[in-house]
Amino acid sequence: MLALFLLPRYDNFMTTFRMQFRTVETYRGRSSPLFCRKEEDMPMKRSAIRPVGAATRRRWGSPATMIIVLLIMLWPYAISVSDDGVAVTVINGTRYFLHITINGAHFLYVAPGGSVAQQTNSLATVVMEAAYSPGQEVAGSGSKAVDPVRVDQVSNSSSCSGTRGGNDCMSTTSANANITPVSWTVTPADLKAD
Amino acid sequence: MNRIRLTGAVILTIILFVPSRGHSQDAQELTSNSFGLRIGYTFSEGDWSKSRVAPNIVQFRGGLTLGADLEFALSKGLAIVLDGGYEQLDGSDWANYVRSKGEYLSVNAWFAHGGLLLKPYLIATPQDMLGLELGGVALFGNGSETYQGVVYQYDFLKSFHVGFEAGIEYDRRISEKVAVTIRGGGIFVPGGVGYADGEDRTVISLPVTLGIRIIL
Repeated sequence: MLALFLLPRYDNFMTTFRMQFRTVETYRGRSSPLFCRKEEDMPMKRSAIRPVGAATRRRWGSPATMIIVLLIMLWPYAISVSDDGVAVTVINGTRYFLHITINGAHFLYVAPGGSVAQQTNSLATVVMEAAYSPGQEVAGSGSKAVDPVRVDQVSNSSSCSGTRGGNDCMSTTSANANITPVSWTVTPADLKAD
Repeated sequence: MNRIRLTGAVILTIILFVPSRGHSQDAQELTSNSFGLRIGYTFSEGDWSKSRVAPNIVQFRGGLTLGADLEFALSKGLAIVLDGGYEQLDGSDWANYVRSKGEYLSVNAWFAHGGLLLKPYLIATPQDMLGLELGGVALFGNGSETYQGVVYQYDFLKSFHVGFEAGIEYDRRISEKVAVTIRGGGIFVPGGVGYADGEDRTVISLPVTLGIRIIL
């Protein structure tokens, strides 16, 4: 929708720009169009001069070009629509600082009791890793992989609005697809020495 | 926080009052566009540089710093400066501490900054120029440590933060177009280091540099 909104404006902008450019190019080197007295003085023959809009349409109006431009403009939007993502939380349940990794993203020196929250951009398997941070005279690491769970919830609700004369009740049914957040509380038992 | 406010107030007072009394009449002619290059050492101050695991150990000691700036004369004795710098952080103390625990760790980290500063001149003579600098700065960093064979990117350095920068620079002209410079400064960026569990620390870095200034 954004692309459909923007594309005509972009086309208008380019048309205007090209008209300006054509004007400058046609009379380049002359102080005024009035100095163009003979046809041979013109930088191009009259027959070669086309309506600017036609040239613009030919350059920007081909279906292939428009499709490519549309795809480029919609690309980020398409990604955000197709991939829901999932909220991931890793909690440090140990007495030590941890290095935590969520889907390859590192979070270093997470304090005891602290947590890291991350939103993934896909519903792919979430891989969480944790290791004791250096300098604590304790070593060990562990990992956990979780497949996000999609929960389809169906809810019924009814609302009534009434006057003294009677009640008007309306029942609605709605369905929501929720992605269960992924959470991992890392305990010493999860971290094995290598 | 109060100390930072007090420092800011003192610098602002100096900027507002000292130049108006101390200016030479030649300041306008002497203040000109110029390009500066600097090299020196940056001191790291504050708890941002300390290890979270062992707070008495410096995780990021200051290191070699490189800087450059473009100075544009605005008016009599006043210039605006586009300043940029790079600071290598030295993690050797932290690495040595970890090694003393029987583990291996290597550290590679740096900061870079870009600032837009106002520079009123306190002294402007044909030979000597002394100017204060104060303005905003954007700080961003990056780095990693290698531990147990895994390269961990420093997430707490990566984010982009803004703060303020102050400095004082003395220029001694050695020819019509070239001056040698000595500069001391401070970069203060609240939340410049932010850990994933929510703790933020203020970055304070104090570069001291020598350099040259080319008068354009």
